Amino acid sequence: MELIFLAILGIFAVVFFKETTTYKIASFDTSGGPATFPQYILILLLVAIAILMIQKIVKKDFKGFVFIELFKGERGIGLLSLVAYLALLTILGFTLSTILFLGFLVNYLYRVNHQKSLGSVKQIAIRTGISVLFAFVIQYIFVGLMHVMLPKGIFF
Amino acid sequence: MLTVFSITNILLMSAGVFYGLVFGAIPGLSSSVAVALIIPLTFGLESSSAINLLIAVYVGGVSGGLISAILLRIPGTPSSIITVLDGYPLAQQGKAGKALGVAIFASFVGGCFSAIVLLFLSPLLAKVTIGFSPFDYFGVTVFSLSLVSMLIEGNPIKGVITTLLGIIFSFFGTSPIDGKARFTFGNHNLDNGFNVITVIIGVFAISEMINQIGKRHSKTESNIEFTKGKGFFPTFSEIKHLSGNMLRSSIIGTMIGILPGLSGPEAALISYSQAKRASRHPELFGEGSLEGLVASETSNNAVSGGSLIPMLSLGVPGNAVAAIIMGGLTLHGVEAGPLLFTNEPVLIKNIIIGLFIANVLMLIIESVAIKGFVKILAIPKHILYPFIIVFCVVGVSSVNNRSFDAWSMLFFGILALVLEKNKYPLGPLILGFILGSIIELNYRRSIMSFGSFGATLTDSFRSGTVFLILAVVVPAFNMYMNNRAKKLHKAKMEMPTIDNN
Repeated sequence: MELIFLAILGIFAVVFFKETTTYKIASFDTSGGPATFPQYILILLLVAIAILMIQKIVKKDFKGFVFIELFKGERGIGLLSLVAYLALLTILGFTLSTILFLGFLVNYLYRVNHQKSLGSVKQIAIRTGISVLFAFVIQYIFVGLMHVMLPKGIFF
Repeated sequence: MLTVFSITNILLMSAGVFYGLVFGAIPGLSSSVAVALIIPLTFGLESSSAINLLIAVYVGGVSGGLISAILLRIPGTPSSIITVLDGYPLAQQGKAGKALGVAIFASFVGGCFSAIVLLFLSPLLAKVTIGFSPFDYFGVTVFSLSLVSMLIEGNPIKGVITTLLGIIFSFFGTSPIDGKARFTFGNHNLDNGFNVITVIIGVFAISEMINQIGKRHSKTESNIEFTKGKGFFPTFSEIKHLSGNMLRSSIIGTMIGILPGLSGPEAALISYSQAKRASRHPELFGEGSLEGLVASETSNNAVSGGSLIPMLSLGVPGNAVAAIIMGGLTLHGVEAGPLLFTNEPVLIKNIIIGLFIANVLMLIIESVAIKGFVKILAIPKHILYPFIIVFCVVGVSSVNNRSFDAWSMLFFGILALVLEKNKYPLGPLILGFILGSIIELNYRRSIMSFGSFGATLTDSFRSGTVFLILAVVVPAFNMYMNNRAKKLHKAKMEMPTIDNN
């Protein structure tokens, strides 16, 4: 699996190297142009990748690389909820999407850590209430007091 | 004007130390995450207050790790891994208060010692390096990156790969010297490259939050009890007894901090082994020895000042947190390096005095509010981690308010999680990203001065050449010594044991 990961890195390095060949050198530029230094680094990366791949093949070390396992179960759900949150930010705006994100993830993680129980209705209401309050407090502090721009959606 | 003593600044730093202590105390959160998340909040501050706040967070973050290390046997930060060895046994013996008090005092001593070294050594180093040509800078930066990638624990090739990846990410956007757009692939969001805040928050905070979400969290943190009685701080005779140990550990920590690539955990480990070697009671180490506790906590806090020395005087950060602070400085239009000492002498004074003040505030806040920090350990993780993710989103949104930055943050978070879980170090990735543009700029300036890279090496013998040679020799020597040690260890293991019976 690690060999596949390294091969993908290698392919990206080759694609990037090909991209650098399209860069032109300005007439006043005597420093080798914008492509030279990235090309050195990409070649070094390809060499490092090749060394590591050879090390792995010689030692027959084909196990131990984790990838799919990292995004299974709770971590995968957490990551998906973050993806949904970022997607909703520009549609619903910061406050509403934050309420939805926190409302879901806080209750989901509680359930994960408490033998698949969400607790009493009162506990769910408290956790959701904290999430709603937090979203409005952050909105007030950053937008109202610090004049920081946060994503706006179709509502506010 | 020295603004470091102003009430606003002291209050700001107090808040920074408190915030850093909270992040340090909670296992899974580190000073890197704390500093990365606070940078967007410094935009409205003037540069001096901003860097003082970042330093205060750093000092608090490093020291906060001792709380959970002593009380829970879980190091709050990687720097406090060694603290667990003697801190937790002391807590088990009913001496948690004493262990916390001694560890806080040792942290204060280590931090102040490194601030003194920063005060005297950084101007001297800046005087030497102010005459550096772009080629010398190129050499010293390459040397630092080679140390960072090769001295790191594990396979050095993995360190090299992440360093190079970091440098490659710095290429996106406008190139130095000629201002050409590179690697944008037609996406105008990439015209200015990846924002430093986006990369830092993604690599350190988002990856850690996704990682923590996948872990089950026990409820034991809420059941911690300890008394903060009269014997909280070390007595005069204890200080006298531990003074040699504190001095030695402070020197080790500061020196480790100066060296690029090494940080708190290495400093604590070396100091601990040296303290054990020098102790009259080495048998107590690991069983609840105050000497062991002091060695670990003094040295890991001494790293904070040490890592700022090369950052301020050379523009080369000593570790990942110093790199993040340097990134924060860049956002405020301050370029770290020897010119800072001549162009911004007041800012330099503010920074150095700020480090002293941060350590004093750490001593006061941590010892006064220790029971409160223990309570913070009991914050349910199902509340904490989602809320930190929201802070991350707010942090990157506050830079440019572009959804592209939020998605980039997620990309770097996932990349960092995959890399770290497969033992690819993240420190070199950030250092490579922050130093990549500096290396390229100085490389291209050198070529412009000398005509070709070959001429830079052969034209005259320069310090840049020395650093480039060291960049190859030092890691190669380190690899040779490591391989030799491994072979010796293997030979010892394979030696037949003599049966006395």
